[in-house]
Amino acid sequence: MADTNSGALVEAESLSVHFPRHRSATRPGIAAVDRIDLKIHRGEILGLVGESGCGKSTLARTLLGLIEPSGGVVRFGGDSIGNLPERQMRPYRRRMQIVFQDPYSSLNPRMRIGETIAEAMFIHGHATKSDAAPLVADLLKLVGLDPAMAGRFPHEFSGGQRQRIGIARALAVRPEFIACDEPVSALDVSIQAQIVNLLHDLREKMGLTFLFVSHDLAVVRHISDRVAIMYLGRIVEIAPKERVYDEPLHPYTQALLLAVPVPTRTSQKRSARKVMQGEVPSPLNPPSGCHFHPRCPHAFAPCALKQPPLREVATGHFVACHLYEPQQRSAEPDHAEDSARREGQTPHGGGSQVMSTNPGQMIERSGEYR
Amino acid sequence: MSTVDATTAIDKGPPNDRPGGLLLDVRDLRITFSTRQGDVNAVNGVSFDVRRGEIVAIVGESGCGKSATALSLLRLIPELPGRVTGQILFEGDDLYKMSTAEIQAIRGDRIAMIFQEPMTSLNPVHTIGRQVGEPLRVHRGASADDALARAAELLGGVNISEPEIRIRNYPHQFSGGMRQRVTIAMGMGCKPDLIIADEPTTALDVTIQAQVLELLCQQVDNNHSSMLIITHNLGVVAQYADRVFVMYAGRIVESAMAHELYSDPRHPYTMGLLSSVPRLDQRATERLAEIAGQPPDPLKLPPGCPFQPRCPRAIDRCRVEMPPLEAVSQTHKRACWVDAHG
Repeated sequence: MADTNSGALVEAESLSVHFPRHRSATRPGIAAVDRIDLKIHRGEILGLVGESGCGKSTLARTLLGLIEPSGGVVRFGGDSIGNLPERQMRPYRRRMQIVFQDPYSSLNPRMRIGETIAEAMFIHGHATKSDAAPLVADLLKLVGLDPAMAGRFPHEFSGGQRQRIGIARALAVRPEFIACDEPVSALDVSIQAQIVNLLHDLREKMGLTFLFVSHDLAVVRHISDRVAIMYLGRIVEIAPKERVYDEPLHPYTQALLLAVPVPTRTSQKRSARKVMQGEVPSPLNPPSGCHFHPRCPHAFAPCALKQPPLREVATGHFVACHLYEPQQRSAEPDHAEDSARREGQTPHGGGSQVMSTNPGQMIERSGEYR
Repeated sequence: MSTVDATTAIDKGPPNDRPGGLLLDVRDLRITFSTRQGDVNAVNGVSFDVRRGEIVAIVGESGCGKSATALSLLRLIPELPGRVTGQILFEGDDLYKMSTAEIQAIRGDRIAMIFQEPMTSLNPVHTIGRQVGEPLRVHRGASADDALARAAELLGGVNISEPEIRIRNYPHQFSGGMRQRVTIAMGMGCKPDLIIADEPTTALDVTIQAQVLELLCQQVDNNHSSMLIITHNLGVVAQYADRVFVMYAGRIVESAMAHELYSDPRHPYTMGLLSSVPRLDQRATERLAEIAGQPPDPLKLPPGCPFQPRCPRAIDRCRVEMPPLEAVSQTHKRACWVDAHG
């Protein structure tokens, strides 16, 4: 990357996480995270998007030191924290926190929520039993809850309120970095916006750095500064958000964006959609070369043979795809199909000879439904 | 009330067995569950209809009664603790007046159901072939061999490769998206007139969701079936439905043709929902529009309109009197006291 070390709060360098198959350690494990390089800059919200099983949650937890990396380095504020013993890890734990997906299972049902929020303060020496109460009240106010609710139990709250409690707990130790693992996926549509707005406000107020893990491209677009797309353990594209959404380069990113149904309708008739075929392959036995090539409409000879490196193709825009390797530059894919659907997108020129090598992957249903 | 309007309109329409004819007519459906805390009115007088060849969506958030509505149609709400009243007319016959044998003859044959969780709606100890072929054995008297052969064809029809081999597999050998395609194949076996799909893609990944929805609509169209799709996803509705019913706290608050609902929503709840969803087709603004507060506890529904405590436009009348579902155009109704254009 072009920028210097100073801007990055969290950093992964060739980071790998392998989970053993069965109990025998003899065979190579599943590469949930496969040699990932990533920097999260101070004060930014980095969105991490991918489908289930792509390794996005594993990556987030490894960055937090909750999973031990199998290879590579994790740095926090410039210090390597990958394999630190727990005692030395503790000061870093205070500086990084996590908000979980499921607000129903991530709060202890037998603790009052005030106790839950205060517990982390005691552990990290931010407060004592006697002076915790006003701090808890401030935190509850900060996340939009009534401080009088501190004495209640989790079951007395709705999903959205519980997620606010989870956020208050994360904030209790005044962290610099918060990883949110699908923080709104379990919530109702009308409540999601409340939590997204809350995270936005907290970033503004407290200058926090966020990693926002989600499968929902629309929510990620809303909240993130930069977006990384993961597929089978690797980052396939990372760029400032407007570039990812207006000018997605990786065929997988393009397919993901096309797959999201947009809540708008102008005509009376339903219209056919282009749909990517195939499923995410098993990470136990990922395809050779570029993991995406069996589903890729633009795949050509080198894709099955060689894994493309993540390469900077425009300022801050990195993509791992053979189509953008220097010798293949002339063969940019044709974006016309998605620009038709999204506003503010400039259709690319570029040869379509690559696309024609494998046109069968995208099926288009014939015409209108009726 | 609104049901009367609907029926008179339909009497002038085409006969029931042709496209556009009335297939399912639900009138004043109410579902109550007895709990220890008291009676919960999950559905409070809901009327809607599905015509032949149509895809109708019911949209709403969790707890609005949409799934209870779906289950009640095939009499799948357990009599205790549930209590269902109202009329559910399928081709003019009240499903709740039928004998057990009669309703069983309809389930899986004339009306099929696809559930949200493909993991729990397939039996883990039977082969896929046996399960997909079952409706044909039960309703069409097919032999085990014929049913199995037909199951393989059906699996091929939902793009499962090597179906002759896959019919011998068990559900755990399939991925989530494949399992949902299996349940679609199972539902389509008898070419039902009506498919009820309750959040059919919520448990699936985005790219797989798109595949499954496309496939489902394709199959519905090929078989000239109708579909009632229950979902919380406004994007799914926009893309696939012809008509939409928006539910809130056990009531229908707005109903319209899909394109009308998106271009001209008339209920404050629908408007709020549409503007609070982050969208891929629009530039991100700094803050999302929020709907303040939370959906009401069905045990303690507020007086008047159930949405009034969260409604930015609520007036005094909203707090005392429930607004009826009134027509704003021939195809568009809403239940709101406030003139949405005011």
